[in-house]
Amino acid sequence: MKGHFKQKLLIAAALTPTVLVAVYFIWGFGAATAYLSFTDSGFLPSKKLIGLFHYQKLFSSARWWNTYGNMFIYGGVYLLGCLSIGIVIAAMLDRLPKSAIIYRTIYLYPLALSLVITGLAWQWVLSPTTGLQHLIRELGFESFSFNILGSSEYAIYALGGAAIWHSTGLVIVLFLSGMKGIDVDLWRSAQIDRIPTWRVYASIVLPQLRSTLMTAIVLLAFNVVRSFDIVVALTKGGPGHASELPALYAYEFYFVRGNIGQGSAAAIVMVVSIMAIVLPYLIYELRKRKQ
Amino acid sequence: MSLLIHNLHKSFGQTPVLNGIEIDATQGEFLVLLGASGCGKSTLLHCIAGLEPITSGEIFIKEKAVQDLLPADRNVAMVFQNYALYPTMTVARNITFGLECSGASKSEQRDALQRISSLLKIQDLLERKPRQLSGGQRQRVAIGRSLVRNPDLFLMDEPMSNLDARLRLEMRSELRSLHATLGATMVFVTHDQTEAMSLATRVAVMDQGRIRQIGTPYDLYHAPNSLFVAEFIGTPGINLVPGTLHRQDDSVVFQKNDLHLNLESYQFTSSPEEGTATLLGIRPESLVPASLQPASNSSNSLEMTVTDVEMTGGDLHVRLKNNGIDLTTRMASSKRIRPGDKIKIFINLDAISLFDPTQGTRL
Amino acid sequence: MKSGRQYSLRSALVHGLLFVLALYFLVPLYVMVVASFKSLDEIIHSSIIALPIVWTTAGWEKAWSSACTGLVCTGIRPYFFETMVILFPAMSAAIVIGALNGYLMSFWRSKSADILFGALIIGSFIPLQLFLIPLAVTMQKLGIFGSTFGLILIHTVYGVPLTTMLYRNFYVALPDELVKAAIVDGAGVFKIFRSVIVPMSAPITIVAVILVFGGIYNDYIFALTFGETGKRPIMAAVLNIISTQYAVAEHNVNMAAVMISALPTLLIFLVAGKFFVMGLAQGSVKG
Repeated sequence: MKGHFKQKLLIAAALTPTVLVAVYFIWGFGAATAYLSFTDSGFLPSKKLIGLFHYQKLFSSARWWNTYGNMFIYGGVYLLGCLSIGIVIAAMLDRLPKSAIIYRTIYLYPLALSLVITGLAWQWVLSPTTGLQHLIRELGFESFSFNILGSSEYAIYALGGAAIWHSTGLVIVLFLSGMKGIDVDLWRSAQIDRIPTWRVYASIVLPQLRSTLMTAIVLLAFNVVRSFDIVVALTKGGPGHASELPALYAYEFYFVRGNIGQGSAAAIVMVVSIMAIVLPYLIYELRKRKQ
Repeated sequence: MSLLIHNLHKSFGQTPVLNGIEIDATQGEFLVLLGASGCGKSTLLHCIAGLEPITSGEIFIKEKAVQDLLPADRNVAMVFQNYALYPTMTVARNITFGLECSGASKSEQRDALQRISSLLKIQDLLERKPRQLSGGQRQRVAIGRSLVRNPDLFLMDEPMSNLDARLRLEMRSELRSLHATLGATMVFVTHDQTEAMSLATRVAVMDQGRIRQIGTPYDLYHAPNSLFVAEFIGTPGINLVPGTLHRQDDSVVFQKNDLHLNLESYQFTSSPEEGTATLLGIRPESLVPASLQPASNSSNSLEMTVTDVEMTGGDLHVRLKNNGIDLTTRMASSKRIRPGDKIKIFINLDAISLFDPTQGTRL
Repeated sequence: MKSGRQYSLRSALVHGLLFVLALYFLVPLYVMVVASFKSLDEIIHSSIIALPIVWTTAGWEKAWSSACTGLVCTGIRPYFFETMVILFPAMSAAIVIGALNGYLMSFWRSKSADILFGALIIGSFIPLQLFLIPLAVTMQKLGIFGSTFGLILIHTVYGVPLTTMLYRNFYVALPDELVKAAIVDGAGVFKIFRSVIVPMSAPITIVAVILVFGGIYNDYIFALTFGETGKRPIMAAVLNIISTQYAVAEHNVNMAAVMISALPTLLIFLVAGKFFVMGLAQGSVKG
């Protein structure tokens, strides 16, 4: 017994540095930022607490409301787009094992690219001088106008479209491997019962993939929160602040406006909002699985 | 005393898994831990090896107290159910790895390898990787790995369960001869009672973390101390007839419907009371058809009707019925028996066991 | 059963849909590649989807060695190498530490271990914006703000949760008996790691390399915040190059710069696609 105890101690000791680093750099820093959101930190962090000042300021700012709302629009478009396109493609690829490899490479490669590259590539395609508008005009339709990046209302959707381009591959991979786990006998009996293929997917296969769906939703949701690179590369938050996302807002207040308190508040609200949606969903799904 | 275990208890958290285990095994014994899944036999083996710490108790290997020592310091060797050969090493390195860990020189390792591989006839396999070996070859390599360090104790955790039936019989006889050659002390875990009976010098039948009975295969078969052990051992299973004990003059009589048995020759642990409910246990081969048992006391016989005949190659398993009494017996398959036939059966009174129906203890 | 005609109609629809979607995915890449090989003249005068009449590598050459970011015109080359200088040490460190951690954690199966593991995973998902200021303060205090070493350090620190998770899940799935056999053979904890576990770790190490490489190479926010002007990691650098204004935007150079930046991860994907996919599936099995 003594020997076993010593060994357990050795293992715990070897893991301690990582634990300490994780606690400090992740949980510690997160808590620090939360703390900062309650202080009067400006250009440099300060320890003086001023209560909910920054949060009040945040939620009385029209710009913030627009930005915050954008997160949900963008998030909604992103999730819906990735999931619907991804699942449909996965279902189709599931039926075609041979050509699948080529298609899979095509749908997946954007995932290998950074979000900066994604943003730059789509900026090129969507810009009126170099992209779609230019192309159609060259073809003779002089009056064709397509300047989504310059539209305050629709720029955010351009962001969504580019992001969907990037991440659909993830959904395809997750669901394809989930579908491969479906019992072959299920397919055979459906065939005998003459159920049309799409019906099989909709009513039999998809319900079994609840946990895959859960994984996909959680991963995509976290991508939404992290979306900083793609905004900088594609729209810079513009025109004006029309397509701004909270991550960008926080960054600007941190380093350009020298208002760390406000930036921290924005970051906290951003993270808490997503957690508030994802965590209950996770708990609900995990509880359901235990049944 | 090769292996001595005294009052061993083990719990996982709050759940007790082993309760008051007592074992003493002499040098050269082949001790089998036999039991169903979950009875704790593997856990016990792991405790002996030192892979699991114990909650309380003592373990002595060759007179040395080892319960506080890690496996490396206990000088034991273990063969696992799936052999656990290191997949990225050659067979040769697999075998010498233990010596490598204890700092043996290259020449020592080479000599040991030479010795072991010729003993087990695996010289041709030395440069192969485990995935290139068959099941039987893998087992031999696993045994070789355990032999090479000259351990005080050999532990085996169901090593035959992944082999097919024929290979299993082959390996059994190889293991038996290996044991005879080496004279080593072996502790072997299995759930297969035939295997246990064929390999062991002594068997420890386990159930729910306790040892129900330790004894030679003969003792366990013919003198089981509990219903549990009686039912666990033997194929086809022991016949059990519920009935009552009556006192008749000076002797005790077992009675069930038309069956009356005089139990003068039976060794009771304590004298039973009149009307005690009991279960009569009798092995199929202790039921003898009248044709083979001419001049016998007809008081321990019964007329029975055949209900089912099962052919198993050399034997017939014959199911018999008489008014609420069901028995199975064994006969040579050359006999012509059919359902519906009437046979007179003699019960060998020297081979019966009586059990308390609720406690399961032997009377 | 379905008639032959119905079958091929359906399969035609499926292929048609797949093809159209494939266009959505391919067009941006096609357009960029094509533009990068055109001369500036041709870009202005031809349609973006037309193939180059004259294929030229002028754009690529300029992007690599003489494109300007602000006042400095060194092309993307120095930034590329700077990125590699940061990436290889950080990646190696994160993998080695993660493998050790994963191995040690695979010994320890209990509720408290699961909680620690879960916390580590959640930690790896939190957006980095939440850490920027404390990180900046810490790096300033340590005197490594804006240095190469600083970037190596933070990429290692934030890569370890991912690698730990990958290795731990992999090692937990290995048969227990292997480690037990090695223990009985007398091997110590680190000997087992060296002689038994590491040789078996090739599949997961490839996955780890792919994911960590991608994570560090594709990073922008650390590059932007903690990179030093003139030595910025590549994603920040390429954005700077594109944003640098000229009288006439040199699209071919810009596109070539983007292509150069995209090549490493793209090549890894094309070569080791199978492991890439495995990595995604692995990385998403949380606890």
